[in-house]
Amino acid sequence: MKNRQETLKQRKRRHRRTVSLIYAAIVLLGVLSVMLMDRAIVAQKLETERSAIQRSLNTIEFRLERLIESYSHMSRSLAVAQSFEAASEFQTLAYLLRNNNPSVINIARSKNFIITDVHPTQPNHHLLGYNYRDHPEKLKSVQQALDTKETVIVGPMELVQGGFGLLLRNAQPGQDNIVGNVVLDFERVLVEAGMGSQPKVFKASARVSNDQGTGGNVIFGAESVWNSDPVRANVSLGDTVLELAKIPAGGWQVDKSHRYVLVLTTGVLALIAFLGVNYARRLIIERAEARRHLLNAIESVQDGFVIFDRHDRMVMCNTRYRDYFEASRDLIVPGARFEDILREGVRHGLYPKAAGREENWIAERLELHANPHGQTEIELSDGSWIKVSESKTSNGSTVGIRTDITELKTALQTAEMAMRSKSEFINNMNHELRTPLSVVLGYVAFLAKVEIYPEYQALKQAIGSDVKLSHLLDKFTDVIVKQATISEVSGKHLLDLINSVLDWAKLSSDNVTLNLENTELDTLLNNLGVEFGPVAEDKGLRLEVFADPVSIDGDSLRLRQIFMNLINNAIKFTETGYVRVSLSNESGLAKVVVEDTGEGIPNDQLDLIFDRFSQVDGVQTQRQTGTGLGLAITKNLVELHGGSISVTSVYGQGSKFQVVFPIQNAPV
Amino acid sequence: MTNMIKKKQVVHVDDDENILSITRMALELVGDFEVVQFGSACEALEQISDLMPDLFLLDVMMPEMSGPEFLANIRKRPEFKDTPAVFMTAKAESQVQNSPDFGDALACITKPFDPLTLHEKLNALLCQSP
Repeated sequence: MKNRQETLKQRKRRHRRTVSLIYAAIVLLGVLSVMLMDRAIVAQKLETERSAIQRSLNTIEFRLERLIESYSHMSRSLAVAQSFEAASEFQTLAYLLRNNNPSVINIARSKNFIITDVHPTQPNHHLLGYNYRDHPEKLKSVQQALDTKETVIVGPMELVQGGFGLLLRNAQPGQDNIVGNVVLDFERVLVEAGMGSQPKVFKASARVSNDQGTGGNVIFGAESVWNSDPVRANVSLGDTVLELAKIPAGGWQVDKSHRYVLVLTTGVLALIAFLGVNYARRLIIERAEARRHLLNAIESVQDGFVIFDRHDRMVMCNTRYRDYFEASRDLIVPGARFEDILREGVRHGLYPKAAGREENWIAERLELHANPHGQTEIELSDGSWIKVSESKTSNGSTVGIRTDITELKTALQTAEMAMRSKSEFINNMNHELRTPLSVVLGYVAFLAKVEIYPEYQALKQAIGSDVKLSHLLDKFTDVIVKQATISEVSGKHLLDLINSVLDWAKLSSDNVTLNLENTELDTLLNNLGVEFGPVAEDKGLRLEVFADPVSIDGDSLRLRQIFMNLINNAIKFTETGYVRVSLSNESGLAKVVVEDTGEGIPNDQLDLIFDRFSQVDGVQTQRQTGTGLGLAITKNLVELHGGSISVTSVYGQGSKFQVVFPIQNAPV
Repeated sequence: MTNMIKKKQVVHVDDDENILSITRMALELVGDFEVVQFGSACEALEQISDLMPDLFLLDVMMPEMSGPEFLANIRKRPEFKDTPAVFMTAKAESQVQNSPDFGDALACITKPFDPLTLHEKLNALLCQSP
């Protein structure tokens, strides 16, 4: 018991540990999934933002290219115009161009590599007469414009007045080598392209790319933009490549609002998981509890309990079951086959009934086990008795209960023995009482017929013709005969009493078995009529018997006893008139009526008449002797035959006894 | 007496002297039988070889050897093989019915019997027997 408690405690601890582990795993999983999902969402959001900024940067790039293109177009058209316009006309045109395009810083024209016109004149008049041939680095691009007849882009370059400028050169093919130059405020151009838009939201920067790709001069925006993992775009400006970059004004900071939802959702999920685990745990505990409860109950039962599965292998049993079959204890373990357990028991001689016919006994027992019906009692070698109740469950298992009925069996045997000795006693008493009574009645019968005695005859002869002595002898004989006759009547009454008492004793202890046979009730009653006719006549009564032919299954001796009692009673209690016996078949019932014109029975005593030792009032008891058992015995015998008896009576006019028997085989 | 028809001989065995006496009176004084009596079955077995009875009248319950045992014994002797036998017993009528102990006995008369009509009963039984 202690061991089991310990393992129970250990099991509980292990159980708690497992549950804690599951809880920890849920928490860990929750945190992990929050982190992973957050990262994924952040990356997703970042990606979205980058691509949005990339798109805007691409737009800037596109607009910048369009702008450069339109400015070069403008500069070419200026060159074309300049080739045949006079100086004053140049100023007018340049003025218009510059007014309409604020990005234009100045416009100049050279002829044969010498600058001839410049606008605005102030503060650029020192450029007039500038000879490119003196500045080979500039000559190169001029020459290029002349050679390619395309727009040559120079810059961006730092301007004297600060900032960066972009120079566009266009040549007018012809003898004069006329080249038109437009200097653009590059920052303004960039702003025009959209680089500076929404400065609170975005930061943009532009720089000239060098060969290493690590960035060169920053010409727009802050240097820091380039260190903040910006989105980039490249724009070709002639031989140079301009790099554009853009970042959010506050850096790459992602909106964290999703985290609340994420944490909340995960928290709720974790909570649900907690509750689920807790619920499952409680269910498991409850189930284990219920199972333990059941096992405890089974263990505590005073009877042996065992279950075999549908393959007849033991599932479980309680200690008491093992105790009953101590001899095969080693085999009584879960999984053992019923037959093996049984055979082991037989081998150890556990079943005395099996001795000498082991195989037959086992076969019978197995058959009963396979098709259980009701209960069997089995004797064990130690003298105890066991009641075996087995039944099949719906899934084909066999549930068995073994009850120790030794006490019951002993009590039963004791009772049977007591019953037997009672019967024996009754039989012996019967014999012992009848033997002396036989002597009494035997001698008394002779005394009542005293002339039988040879001695009497001798005495009579000796007296001869002596009148006086003869008279004395006759008187003496009369006295002897009279008293012997009375003794004989009393002796017979005593015999009746003995018979009735013993009969009653046997009937009341259910010690009577009927010899059932087909009995012709009409013949039986007619015979009784013949037998009792003279008795009735002696009292001046008529005994009439009217019997239809009816046969029933019955014990003829006992049936005779029944109707003898009734007829005897009727004659006994009737002084004038008749006793009439009638038998009829009334819808499957044999009905016998015994009626008389006797003194009858008062109403208040009708119910008592079948009780033993009751007779109708004391006066009659004195006049009509009887055992008082007659009707009780009669009723008992009638009921033994499956019949019933009843009585109706009018006090002072007569009684009517009615006996009804079922007819098993109705006559054809 | 010798010139009369030979009386039927009854061998009566009973351990009760009074019953012996009553039976003798009933059969010899009231009836017309010749009665040979023995107080025990053993005694009877020793002495019946000289007799050729017409009927055995046997008490059932006797010490040493019971009536049915005695009957079974004499049935082994060829001379008594078919001699009719009647039992007498003090047991109740209902107990005597169909008792297997009685072998081929004609009847079982219950005690107390009516000594004045006993001879009639026996005569009737002898007439019925083959």
